[in-house]
Amino acid sequence: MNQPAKIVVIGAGISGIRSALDLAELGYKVCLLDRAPAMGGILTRLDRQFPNNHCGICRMLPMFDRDNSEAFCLRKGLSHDNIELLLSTEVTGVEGNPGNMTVTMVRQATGVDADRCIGCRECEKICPVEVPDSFNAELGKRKAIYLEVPYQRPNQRVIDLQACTRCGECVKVCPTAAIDLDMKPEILTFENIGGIVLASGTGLFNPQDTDVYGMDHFPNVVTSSAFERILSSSGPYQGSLMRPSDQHPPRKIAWIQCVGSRNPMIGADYCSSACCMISIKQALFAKERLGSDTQTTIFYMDMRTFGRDYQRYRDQAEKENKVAFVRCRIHSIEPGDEEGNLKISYVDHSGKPVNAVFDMAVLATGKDPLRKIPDFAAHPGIIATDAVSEWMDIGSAVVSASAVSERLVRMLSSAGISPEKQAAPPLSDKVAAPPHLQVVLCSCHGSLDKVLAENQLAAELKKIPGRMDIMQVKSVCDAEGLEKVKETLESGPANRLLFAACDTQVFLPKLRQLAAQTGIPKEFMDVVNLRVLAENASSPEVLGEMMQQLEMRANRLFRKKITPTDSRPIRKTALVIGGGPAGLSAALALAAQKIKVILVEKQETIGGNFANIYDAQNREMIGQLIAEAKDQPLITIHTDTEVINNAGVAGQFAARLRDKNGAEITILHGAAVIATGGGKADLPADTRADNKIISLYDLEAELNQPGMDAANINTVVFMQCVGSREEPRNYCSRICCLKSLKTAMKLKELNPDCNISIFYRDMMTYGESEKFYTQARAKGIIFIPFEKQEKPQIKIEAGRVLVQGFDPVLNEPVCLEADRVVLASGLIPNPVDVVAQAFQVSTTRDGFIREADSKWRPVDTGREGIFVCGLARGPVRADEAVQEGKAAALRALRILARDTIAASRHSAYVRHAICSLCERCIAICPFDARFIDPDLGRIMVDPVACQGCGLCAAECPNGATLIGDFEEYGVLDEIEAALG
Amino acid sequence: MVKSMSDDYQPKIIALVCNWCTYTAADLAGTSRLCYPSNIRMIRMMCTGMIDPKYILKAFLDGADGVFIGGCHPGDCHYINGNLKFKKRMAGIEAIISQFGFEEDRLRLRWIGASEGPEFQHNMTDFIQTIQNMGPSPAKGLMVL
Repeated sequence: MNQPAKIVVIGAGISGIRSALDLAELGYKVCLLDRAPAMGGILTRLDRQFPNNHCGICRMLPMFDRDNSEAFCLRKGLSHDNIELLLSTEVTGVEGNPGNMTVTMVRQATGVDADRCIGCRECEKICPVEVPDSFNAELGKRKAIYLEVPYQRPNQRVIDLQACTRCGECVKVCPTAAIDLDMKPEILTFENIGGIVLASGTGLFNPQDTDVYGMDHFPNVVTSSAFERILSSSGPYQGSLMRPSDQHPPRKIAWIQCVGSRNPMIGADYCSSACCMISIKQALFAKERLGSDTQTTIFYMDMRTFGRDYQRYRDQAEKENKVAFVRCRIHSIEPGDEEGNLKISYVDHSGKPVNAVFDMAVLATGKDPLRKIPDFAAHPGIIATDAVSEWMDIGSAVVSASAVSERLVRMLSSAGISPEKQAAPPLSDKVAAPPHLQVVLCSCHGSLDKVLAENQLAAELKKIPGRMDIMQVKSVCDAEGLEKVKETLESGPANRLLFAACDTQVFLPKLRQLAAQTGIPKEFMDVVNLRVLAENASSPEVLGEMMQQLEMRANRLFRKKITPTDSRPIRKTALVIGGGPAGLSAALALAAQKIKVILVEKQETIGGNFANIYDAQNREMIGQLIAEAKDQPLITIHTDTEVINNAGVAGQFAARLRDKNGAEITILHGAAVIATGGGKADLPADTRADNKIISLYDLEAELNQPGMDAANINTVVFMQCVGSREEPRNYCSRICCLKSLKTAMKLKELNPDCNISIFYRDMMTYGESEKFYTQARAKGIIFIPFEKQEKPQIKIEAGRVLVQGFDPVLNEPVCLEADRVVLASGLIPNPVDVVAQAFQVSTTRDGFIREADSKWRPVDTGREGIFVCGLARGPVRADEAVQEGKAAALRALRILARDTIAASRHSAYVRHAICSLCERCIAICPFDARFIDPDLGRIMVDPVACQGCGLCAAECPNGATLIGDFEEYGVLDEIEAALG
Repeated sequence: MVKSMSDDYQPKIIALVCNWCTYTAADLAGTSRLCYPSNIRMIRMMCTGMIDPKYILKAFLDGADGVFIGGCHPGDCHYINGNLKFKKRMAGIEAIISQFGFEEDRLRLRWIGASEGPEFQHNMTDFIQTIQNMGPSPAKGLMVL
């Protein structure tokens, strides 16, 4: 059974977009839906992201095969040939089995016909109804007919039918009769659905629901998402950081962590994982905007900076930017002395009560405990991303979404479903003929007739040199008008198309449709927004302006050529380096898609740290991976072997392997996954003074010995972050807190009378692992926090091992005599020098392999075709490593699943006759896409790696390099027309 | 949103803007009805790094009174660091245009992020003002036109 499969992705936020793009890039047809009238979810409301305070949303877009999608900022939306977008739509029912499901949806009435709306916003101007603007956290106003996201493209309005008074003013002004106030919801039924990705997110806790911290009474208490909008230029105050009550810049801002999280009282026994970092980022931006003397204080229980680079981010905020961190759960916010100010009472580090007044307070909210996972989620064939049950940072959500895509693809292939083989639509024969431009003047249902006639635009256009036909249609929004254009293109000689109509982005789908039907590439089509120019029809310059714009676009179109495209066969073999959980899961995921895998392991056995893992669940998971990998005929395992060299480009690599005897072989592959892993860090030398001082790993091993008797272990002191989270190893090892909790509870199980104390800096029980922390406290385990500069001291006196520290709850020093002092020494990566050198990928200062972008491309390296996952990239738990392995496999599959990859039209190409081989283009290319072919003596462009950024073309002293669609002669002509 | 200037002198401005950030900001300024002068001809580039110095020279020699370059903030570049690579070229380009007799102030580079519609408007208005104060480009006087 090999049938075309369509996949439904529910939720068009970060996870949904990632998953939809993953599947679309593999050739599956995807239906991406969202209940909101705009896509993007939280993505559209974020300007900048930690831990680099930059934005890189667009890096999620396809890197090759870019002709299938539009290249623009993802805030505007997503346009991909294989993705059908359904907004204002919710799934109501799911039936059938994986491979053949029927999905029922309801599309809410929006009052506006999206096929007719041209985004002219006449309706919005006239609408008399104003309501709080949900996009800006209700800090501003919007109309009842509105655009959900201001960047949104196409910018078709929707009506908030609950707020609408049905006054009908918008209906009167709409030039395309797109508004229908009596529109009814529509039931949509999709049959023959292969599988479903559920990526609907967790929702955000709303403090107003339970009136935590007086959100209802104090205008200057805002949520962190509202603060994000206040910081944004597209926000309610145009990017000026002001407090809502009087719109003055705040001088003192407080952040209150864990609002709606880590609170079992409201059913929120979880950590929302990302809020700590978000608050640090916001504090840094507040200081950047308002000056470094702005006082920023973060009130927290534990600062959960558990990501690889997060601890340094916090340290810098604290030391260099003077963000104050106060460990205290705030009870309540009271009104301050002055209007709008807020009083917050807390206990400081020395135990003194403090009453502080702030201008503004930000509540760090995370997952909504009230949000229910839809009933149909358990239906077979539906796979949910982790972000449905946990609030998480972007990088984790992206990894989880790709891992889900991998599971879905595996489910489909085991049901015998593979993506349709896609061939690019054949180009029309006449495309190669000399340029002949068809200009289509759209009178927008007659409303532009007057402007077009008065200005004799058609006659003026004739003056532009070049072969040109001109036609006028009443509307290209209607199927009828578009059909007319299509017929003209099919029957006439024209091979270029210029619309003089309205918003370019409204036209994109139409251009794509026309391109598919007529065989004229969409790059040979363009749109000038005549409507917006005609709005100024009274101005005498309007004709000049219209003409100039038309001439600019016409000149570009006349100059466009078919870019020569190289196509490269792909070696359908993957190289996986490292046989731990990450590498094994990547290898198995690839093998499941019939990709041959060469698995290289430096040690004599595969399994990574399997021997040191005692957690039953993890042992079973990894044990199964090992067994499956050994059984999988497509996986060839080379143990005691290292990769010492790798050369070539994505799809066609050659790697050199060397075994422990020094024997070398060369293997050919198409993509590599680096999963070299890591392991336990040794205890610092000065802690080995007594055999009662052991590592957390040792205790775990001891307790898991068969017949272990813990009766004589009566007092145990755990100490967290030994060697971690301070220079030179200034990162959280991520596994220790949870491991300490589990080990401590195991000890309590073996010996309920055992006294256990845990000295910790910040308990990093993020996400659902918070429950273990809650359980451990309930079991009577004592937790004592300490700061980095006031570590508890271990003393050995006459055979007794004492731990001296300070308990801030008792507010006095404590001295504990212990049978065991258990040190959490953390994780370190395995040495990556050889592998990083071989694959020419960069590393972090801590010796991890650096990914292309920690948020948006977490498992890609800077080199296309080389991927990284698991401990090689940063500290992870075993289950997270497996997820990363799957995500990396899916990224590799984009390449390996194809037989060939052709260059996108918008890529660089070289005119060899005038190339002087100076190689400056090779040096400047940010994607390592250019190399010299020694046999041909030519500069070559790797069509997979090239992104068409044009740095090479600008650098080339001879103009030998050109960029498809941005050839220099076209740009120069456009400049000339613009100044004509 | 486009509006006409009331002043007599209408400078001709070419704006070469990056597809990812500044172009989005320009679009946003449009949708948010933030007015900026109409005598700006915007040409979309994929990245500021793709701007060949000859585009700028061509614009000046063809009579542009000013050339505005808008790119992503450092670190936000879709192509990793194309914007910074263009910035490196700026000094050379300024030297070239001044050799041709065009003041350096007629060329301006600014970083404008995708959500910064108001910044886009502000930058355009400010640049036009600067050019208006400077007066017409010396191109005509130099008889290069």
